Amino acid sequence: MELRDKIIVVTGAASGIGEGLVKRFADEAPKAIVCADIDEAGAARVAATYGGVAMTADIGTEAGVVSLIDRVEAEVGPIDLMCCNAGILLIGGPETPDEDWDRIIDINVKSHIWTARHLVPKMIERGGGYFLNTASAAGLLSQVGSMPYAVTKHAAVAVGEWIAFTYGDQGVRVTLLCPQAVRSKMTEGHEEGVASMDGMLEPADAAEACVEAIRNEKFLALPHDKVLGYAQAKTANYDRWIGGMKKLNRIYGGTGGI
Amino acid sequence: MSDLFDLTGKTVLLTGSSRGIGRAMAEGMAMQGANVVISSRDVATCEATAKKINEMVGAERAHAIPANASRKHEVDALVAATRQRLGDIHILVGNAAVNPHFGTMDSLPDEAFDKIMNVNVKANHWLAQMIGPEMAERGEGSMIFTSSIGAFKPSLEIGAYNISKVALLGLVRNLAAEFGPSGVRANAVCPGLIKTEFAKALYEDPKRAKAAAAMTALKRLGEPEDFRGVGVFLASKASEYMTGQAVTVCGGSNMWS
Repeated sequence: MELRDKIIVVTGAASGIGEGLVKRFADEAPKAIVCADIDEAGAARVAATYGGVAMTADIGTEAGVVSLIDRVEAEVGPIDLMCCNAGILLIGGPETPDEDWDRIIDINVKSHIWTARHLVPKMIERGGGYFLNTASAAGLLSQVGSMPYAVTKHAAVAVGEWIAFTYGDQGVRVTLLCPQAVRSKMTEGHEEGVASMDGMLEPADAAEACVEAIRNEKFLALPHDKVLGYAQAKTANYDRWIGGMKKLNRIYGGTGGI
Repeated sequence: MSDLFDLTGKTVLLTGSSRGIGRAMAEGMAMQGANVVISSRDVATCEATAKKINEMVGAERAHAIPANASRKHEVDALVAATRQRLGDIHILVGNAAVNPHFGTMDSLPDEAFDKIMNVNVKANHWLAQMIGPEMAERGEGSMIFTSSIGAFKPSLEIGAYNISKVALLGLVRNLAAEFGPSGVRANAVCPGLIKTEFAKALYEDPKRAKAAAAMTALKRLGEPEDFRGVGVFLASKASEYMTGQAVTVCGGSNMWS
């Protein structure tokens, strides 16, 4: 899909990859870019910098997701490209308290489900639409040091796959962004972490990979090109992969790994 | 006479309307021909309620537009989506409320107090701010806000809630004064103890329910359906000369107090 004259929404647009997406999309002459974030001032700043429309949104609740979609469709127009980018990271394992699990599941997974629930029918009615969902290489591989991140990103991959093959015939397309470390508030202070082994990329690199994947309607946007090889190696020999991850866990496990 | 209560073609935005009193008001207004917006933060319940109302009236008059009334940006979206789908907003019902605290004021955490005042008072102010001007421009409109008989008395259990409901009466009074010259009315409804999910803690104990019913002149607790007619009355021409009032609907548990 070409982005020219399209209406685009980016959640988590106030910083990091979200801001990078807004900045890069602006070069494609879209009709409008809605910069949505729970951080009102941040969304306003990014929108002002790159010529977008700022909207405050908390995608951690279904009502928040519906409100964002409603407001965009009422005030800007029908959404062509929905970028479910907002996400959080929590360090820890199964001892992570339930309320934290609930929060990361709501934000990293259920927000993608809620968005699909309310936007897919509209897209199908209009003959199609596009989702760019920010998952992570952790969704294809795993995340040393963070079980909640590994689990929710795997789930986000499953959500994206399911939407792609279920609604594809009705014109709904999906690209999943699966990077390793990208410089952002989330990775700040983790520059030496496991996800940066193959280098920490800039948001601009991730955004470039997204624009290219959307243009070619490719399911995966992989700014770190080694990720596909890692995923293939994982499925080729799971035991060997677990062994390799054990090694990484010994080195990076205590820090959350990113 | 029937014209007095006719709401055909009117658009009503109601918050807290997926259950209880708000839902009953939406039902009553839809029965009188209005298009009603069903809104709360519970998306599935909004959709189910809208569907039920449409089945009840045999027409597509109820529209689910979920939003969390405590968040200004979601209230903004609710108003924008209502206008997009249904056009001008003729009647506003601010009914969403919370009561996260049971106990005396000295045990009330700041967070709970902020939440109560934000949803019960400030969110209604936002709605009036967003919708009042368009009503004034047309020279007519009715705003209805759900207060409580709790506004008239102290409570050792739900003091903060009662305080918010007094403040809401203050808001209604001021809106009536500000918008009156433009033909827009504002009134409050003050329910007594009504059998809703919201008030469950106050009547689920059968002894307590019995005692509360005995306190009413009609010798029963209220049902949400008791608010269908009240809502229609305040929304319609029937109450044309009423503004700035607090209408107590309590089976007679409270009389002028």
